[in-house]
Amino acid sequence: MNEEEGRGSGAFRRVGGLRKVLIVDDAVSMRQMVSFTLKQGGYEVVEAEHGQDALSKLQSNAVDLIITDLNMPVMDGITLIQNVRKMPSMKSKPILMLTTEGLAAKKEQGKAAGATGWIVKPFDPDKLLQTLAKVLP
Amino acid sequence: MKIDLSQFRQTFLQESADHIASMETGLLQLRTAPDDVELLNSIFRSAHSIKGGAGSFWMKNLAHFTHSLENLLDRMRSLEMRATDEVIGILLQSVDVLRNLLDADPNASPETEMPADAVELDARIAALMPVETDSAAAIPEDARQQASSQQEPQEPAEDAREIVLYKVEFRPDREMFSSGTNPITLLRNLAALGTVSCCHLHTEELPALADLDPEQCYLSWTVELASRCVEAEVREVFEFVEHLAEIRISHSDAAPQTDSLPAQDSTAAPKLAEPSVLDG
Repeated sequence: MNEEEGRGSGAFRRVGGLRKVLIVDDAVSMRQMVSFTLKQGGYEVVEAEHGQDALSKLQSNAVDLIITDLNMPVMDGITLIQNVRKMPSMKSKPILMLTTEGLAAKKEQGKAAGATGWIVKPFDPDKLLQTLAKVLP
Repeated sequence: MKIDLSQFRQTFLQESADHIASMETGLLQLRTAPDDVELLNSIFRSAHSIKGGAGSFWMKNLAHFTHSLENLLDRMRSLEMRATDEVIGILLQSVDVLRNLLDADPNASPETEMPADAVELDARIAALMPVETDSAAAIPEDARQQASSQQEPQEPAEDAREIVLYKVEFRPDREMFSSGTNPITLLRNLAALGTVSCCHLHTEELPALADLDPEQCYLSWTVELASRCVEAEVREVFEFVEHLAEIRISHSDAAPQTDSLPAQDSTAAPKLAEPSVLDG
């Protein structure tokens, strides 16, 4: 067993690394469900409970995609998207809104802020993975 | 792959019980601070979270009732409606109804009818609000999403469909990159729907290197695709970018009748891929 393996499975990375996704939602159950689905789909996951927490997680994590709820305490999803789009490293990364609002107004707000697309809650796990595959380069 | 999320039900139930308790505390505080927007926002978020999770566990009645509550609370937090004693009273009664709905038998059919007290309160909530806005569309859309994920596809099986020859004109706005969208990813997704016989890249708008802004998209494409997909499926590729691109999809009625897809042959693509067709 070499030193790399000796650190345990948590430290083991596939060559090229897993795709890393940041999931932002104040509801623990929703975060767990999305996170579980993503891990089943072979993604690495970072969780944050609101926009401010997400911004701080982004300081230490380079992610390939963000999935964010819109209604959250401390910092909502729209403000998060606006802030993320100002970060040079995140300017062109896909951001998906995780939202129960089916109505156009909220989606428009998100799109104007720089969101790439959306996932409607409750989500179908397979559809969630398809949507990710659809927006990731 | 079928992913089962039912193991998270217990977390959701516990979380929702906490939300209901904090809604109750918040509503009691609202009596003395009816215009406290932060308080209203927090009560709204509790209802919103319960609704978001309820659908995931087929708790239809809970999802429906919290949707009504959410509509009311949304108007209150935007101060469109005042938190009068009457409204707060109805919301406090709703807290009890929520508790009962949350305790519903997990093995009951999702089609179980809403309990009478919930139906009555739901009607009173509806009566508080002037004509419904389009926000009422949220539930049907959620329901549709669930229904579509459960039902067998209504379309004929893909193999049984005729091959259609599509011409897809895709002209991204200059600002497309700002939404985190990569047009190449979209073209890749489009190509996955069938066989591309012609992909014409339009470079006329590409400026000299010195004038090029790397954050702008100057390119556009005309793609000819032979596919068994229906037009809606082709259009779905561009679902997220309809506001960021000009997309025209047309198809030739003279689709190949044979089962084999057309070979890459310029004669199979007459008059296509003219850059001028993108003008306007």
